[in-house]
Amino acid sequence: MPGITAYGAYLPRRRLQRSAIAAANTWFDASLRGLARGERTMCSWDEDTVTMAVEAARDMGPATSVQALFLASTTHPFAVRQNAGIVTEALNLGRDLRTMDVAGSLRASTTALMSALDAAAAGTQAIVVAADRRKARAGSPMEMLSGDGAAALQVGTEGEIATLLGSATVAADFIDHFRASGDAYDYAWEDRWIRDEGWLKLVPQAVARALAKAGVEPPEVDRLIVPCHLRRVPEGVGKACGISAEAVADPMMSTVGQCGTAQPLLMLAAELASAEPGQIIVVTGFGQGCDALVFRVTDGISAAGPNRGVAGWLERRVEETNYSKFLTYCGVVEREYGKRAELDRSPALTAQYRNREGVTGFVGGRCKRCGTVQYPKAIYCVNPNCGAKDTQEPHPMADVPATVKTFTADHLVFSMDPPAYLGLVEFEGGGRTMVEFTEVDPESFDVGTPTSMRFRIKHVDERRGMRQYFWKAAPD
Amino acid sequence: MASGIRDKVAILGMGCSKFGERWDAEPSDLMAEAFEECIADAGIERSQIDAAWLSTAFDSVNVGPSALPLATSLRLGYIPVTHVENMCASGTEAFRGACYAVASGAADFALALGVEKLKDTGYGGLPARTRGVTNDLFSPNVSAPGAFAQLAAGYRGAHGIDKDDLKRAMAHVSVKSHANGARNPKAHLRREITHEQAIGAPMVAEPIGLFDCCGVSDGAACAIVTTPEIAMTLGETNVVTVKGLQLSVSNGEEIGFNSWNGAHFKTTRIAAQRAYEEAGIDDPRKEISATEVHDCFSITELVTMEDLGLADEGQAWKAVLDGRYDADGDMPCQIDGGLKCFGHPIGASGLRMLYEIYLQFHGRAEERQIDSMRYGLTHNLGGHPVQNVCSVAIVGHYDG
Repeated sequence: MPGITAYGAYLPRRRLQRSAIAAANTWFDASLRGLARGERTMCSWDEDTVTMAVEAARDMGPATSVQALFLASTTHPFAVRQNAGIVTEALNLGRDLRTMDVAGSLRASTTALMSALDAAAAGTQAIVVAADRRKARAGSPMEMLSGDGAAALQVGTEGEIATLLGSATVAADFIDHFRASGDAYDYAWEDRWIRDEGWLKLVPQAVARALAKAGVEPPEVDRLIVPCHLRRVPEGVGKACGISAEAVADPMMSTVGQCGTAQPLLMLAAELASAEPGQIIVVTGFGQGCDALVFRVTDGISAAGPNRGVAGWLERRVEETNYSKFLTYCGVVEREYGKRAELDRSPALTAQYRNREGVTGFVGGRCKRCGTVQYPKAIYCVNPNCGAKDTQEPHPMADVPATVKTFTADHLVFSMDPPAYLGLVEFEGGGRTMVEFTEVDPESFDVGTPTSMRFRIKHVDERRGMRQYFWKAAPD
Repeated sequence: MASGIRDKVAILGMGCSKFGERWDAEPSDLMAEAFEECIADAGIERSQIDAAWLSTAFDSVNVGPSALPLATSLRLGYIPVTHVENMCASGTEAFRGACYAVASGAADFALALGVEKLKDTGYGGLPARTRGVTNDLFSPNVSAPGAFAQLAAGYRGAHGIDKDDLKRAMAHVSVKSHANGARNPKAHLRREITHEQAIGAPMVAEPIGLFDCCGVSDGAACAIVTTPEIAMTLGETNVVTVKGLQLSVSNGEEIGFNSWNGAHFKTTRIAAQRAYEEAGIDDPRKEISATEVHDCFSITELVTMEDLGLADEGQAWKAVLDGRYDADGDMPCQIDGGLKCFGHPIGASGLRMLYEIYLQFHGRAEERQIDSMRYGLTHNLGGHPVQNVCSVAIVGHYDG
């Protein structure tokens, strides 16, 4: 039976306080005060859909024998250049797999999941990742209610932790919000209409059809996932479906916000973490209609678990109250970056392709003669007592823990998050390299601090619309 | 080991422009200013120069590529001219080229000229630049202070030195250089500072503050070299010769192999050892009278004292605080103000260091004059502690 075999999540560490958004904007729109509760996740400047997707997939643990990777988002960084391909190379999944970007609607993730489960039934193990970093106008309700995040699922027919019982889609060109190609911002219609004609009608239809296919009666549902940012709507949907209010999952609006395509899978990842064998979980995805999937949790649930999972990422938080920084990172305001930021770097796609394994996959070399690990992989071994030629085998280092050997906080060099922290790290089992650090707490960061490598944006080439990804070390 | 070039090359003349924010000057003006002093000092005609070397580090905001800028600015006589770049050690590279030309017999008179025009960028500090398309994919974006600040952390960690003690020693380095620079009319920064100012200055890259950083300057410096025999034929009685001239370049071990402790310059140790051997120096602490080292940052100067063997490992910070390298200490360092205050027009700096040592040997250093010079040492470093280029030059009176 096709089902979910692993799950993972990623939430950025920064949590923008909604009170900070309100403080800057209620002079214009007093109604925002009503939304100014709790916090929302917020990408740092060096995070986007692709980097979050990589981290969510890594959160599942090492991926084995994957034959497809689907990346769902409405905020793919590249319109042309397959975003799933970047994620695949960062995860070192090899070249023998199907990769695809899925987009266009907030239910892209659930649709991708349904397609992946179909593929699984046909013998293809697939990873589905959903991530969104949605851009909203300053002072808009969407700015308040959105969050940034990602979730990943692996599906297959062996070792399922939740088996698919049935699924259904209601397709309807219901335009709660839209964004034309090339535009930066969404345009939304009235919430009350979206609630009454959208969530409360389309979702129950899809759920009813999926339950019927699964042969499950509504009262048998243990968890219902309705990724809705509107207050009390998930409960309303539950009621319309004949599912009790207790079964309705927390949409995480006070801690995370609505993470677009990622939201249904994020909520599912959160539910799976506490699920019991035999439980029935219904997942819905909403956008130009509705997808609904019915799963039964298996005995395998007790064995499997993500590295951090939603709860772990939620715990790993730092409050952000600097609304100006948020606007800057979202690209909503034009900031003066100084002349040092004007440096023009060629994207050098040829060099990028030649070095993709080292740069995107963070694969170093290990000398077969002396065992020395080195990054980057080189022709001659760096060990002064060896120096052998062409002896290095690929040595993936992204998941190898590293400790800070030297570092500084550089106030002079251009950085989107000054001061720039950088320095030398040493990897467990050998190898060292100079890295940029991210997510540094100045008070606790020092020589000897344990770090993990994170896939991040290294450089944005505004002129050509290119973004360069690389790995940075983040304190554990 | 090869016999080296000890006493095979004499410095016939030197020149140095005023360093500073030379808003008025083109690179060609700076080159001419240094060259006119140099050629007058050498006492030869421009047409007698057989070959020339030009050093710069930041071509794109400076003279542009190739050797043409030197040949055209000075209207050299269609002779061989070579442009060299080895980051901040470029000046000594130009000098090395000229010395080798003379030592090999390929040239009777060779010119080495370094120039840098840094103040055409529109902002302070060194120009931001790419490190090459492939390196840009991997290398952290870092400023020079950011790279060298890590040396302070590494040094402190390796020797268990208190943060405040090290910062005090770093401040002493800068206060000393400001005192020296104030007595040098060609220096960029000519104002004395106090310890309190040095310690309290705004942080650039922890623990490097503003006064731990050298000046970013426009300037040029040059040398004309020949053989000692020709120098004497021309009537030179006080012949100053090259005793040792060595270069060591990192091969990636510091940044890539888990053995370097981050607290010293491997290249400096190797280049110094080779230079002492070439010069026949057994005890540098007794035989060297003055040093001009690459004090791009105060911590660099401090650590370099150990790497040159002029202080015990882990003890330079105490020697600094004891005043050993002050103008009135045992072995003055940066008597001309150093990179710190004379300034650091990158491609010119190695030659500027030699200029001061040369003046000292000729007794022309005015109020900075050091008594009884035996050997003078210059140390010129390019790159970052984790990966760099280091040259060490030793000069002295000709005793062939």
